[in-house]
Amino acid sequence: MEKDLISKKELLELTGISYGQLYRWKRKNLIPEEWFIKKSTFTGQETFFPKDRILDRIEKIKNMKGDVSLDDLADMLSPNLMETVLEREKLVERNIVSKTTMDFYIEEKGETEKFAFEKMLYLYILDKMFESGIINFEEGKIILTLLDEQYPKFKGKGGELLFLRKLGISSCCLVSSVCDIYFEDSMKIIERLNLSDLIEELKIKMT
Amino acid sequence: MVIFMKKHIADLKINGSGSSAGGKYNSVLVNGSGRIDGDLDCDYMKINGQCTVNGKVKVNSMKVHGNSLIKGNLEVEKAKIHGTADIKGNVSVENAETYGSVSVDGDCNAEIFKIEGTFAIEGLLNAGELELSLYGPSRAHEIGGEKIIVKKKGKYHFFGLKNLIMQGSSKGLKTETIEGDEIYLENTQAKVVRGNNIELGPGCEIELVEYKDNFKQDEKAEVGTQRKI
Repeated sequence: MEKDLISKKELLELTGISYGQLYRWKRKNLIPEEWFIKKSTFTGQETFFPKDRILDRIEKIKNMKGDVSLDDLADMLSPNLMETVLEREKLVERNIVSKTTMDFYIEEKGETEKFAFEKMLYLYILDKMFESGIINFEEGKIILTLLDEQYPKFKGKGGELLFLRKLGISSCCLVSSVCDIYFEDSMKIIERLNLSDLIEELKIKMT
Repeated sequence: MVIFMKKHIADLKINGSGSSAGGKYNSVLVNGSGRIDGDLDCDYMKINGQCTVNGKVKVNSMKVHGNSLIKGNLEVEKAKIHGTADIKGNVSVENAETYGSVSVDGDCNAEIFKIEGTFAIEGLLNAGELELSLYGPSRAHEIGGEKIIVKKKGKYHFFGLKNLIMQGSSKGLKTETIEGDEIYLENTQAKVVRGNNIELGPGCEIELVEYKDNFKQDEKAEVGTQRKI
């Protein structure tokens, strides 16, 4: 699944951070263990990282570390769900979820005043997909049902949400992070969302 | 065997020889020989003598005089170990001092880590400030951090005698890579050393040195290739 890798040395040159900083961030769990990929090269073992993700992460850390402590930052970046609960109005007011998506959710699940982080995540995912226009309300329903029933099993682990369509019939599935998945030709992957990235985005939006 | 328990969150005391099933305690005190069959979560832990934990340990402050063996992960804020500590899992610690020998089968994360004696870490030793005063052969798979100081033997010269008799047998620290901001090494064998400021003292054998700002080398240090980046 990982396409582009960057070596540790290149990474430090490119971002201007030192070894000390990198190790410190690793200790504080700002950079997930799975991103450290060991490979043998002619100079012995070297460490590589998934390029886009690590560059993005380091940019984020550099931008935010002035305002937030490293420990708080680690909470924000980890795929673990937060304990926060937000009211319905707040979510719409702060533009985390659009009114349309909220109404859709209420219609499906009934009146809800307070949203736990998990539910917020579902809303956020739906919102994103509705907004991009790739799914309709009918398809929103199956995604919501899938998330509602299956996502709790994923707790704390990253994963991906795949939205598929074959001959006009749509379907969706949740897969855990490290896995290759192949489909036959007529199956189209319409959308592929990385859940840890979404959790991260949502956490940043909330603070 | 005597086990006292008191308060809401009980204390665990083992005087003599005894065992417990683990669990949550305020303080855990072992005088003599103890065995804990399960995970341990406590505020304070002190071992005088010998203790084996068949599980993981989470503790605020920990003191060991004697031997300790932990089969799982160790998570501790402050640790002071005189004697030996053998940890089969990963270690994460804020501030640790060890006098004697430490071995860790997994990775070791520490903010401040001071070791006098010997150590063996099979994974990555990752520390903010690392000060190693070595009395004998030690190894780590990789070392990374901000400030890394490795010195041959400490202030006491008792073990120095052994080195005198078995000259050449102990090679100090052996590791694959050392990466950090400030690095000072003595008696170290490594494939690669990378950092901003690197100083190599006597007895170093390094295949490749890559530095950013400064590099100093003792005349008794051997370096294969050195590169400024």
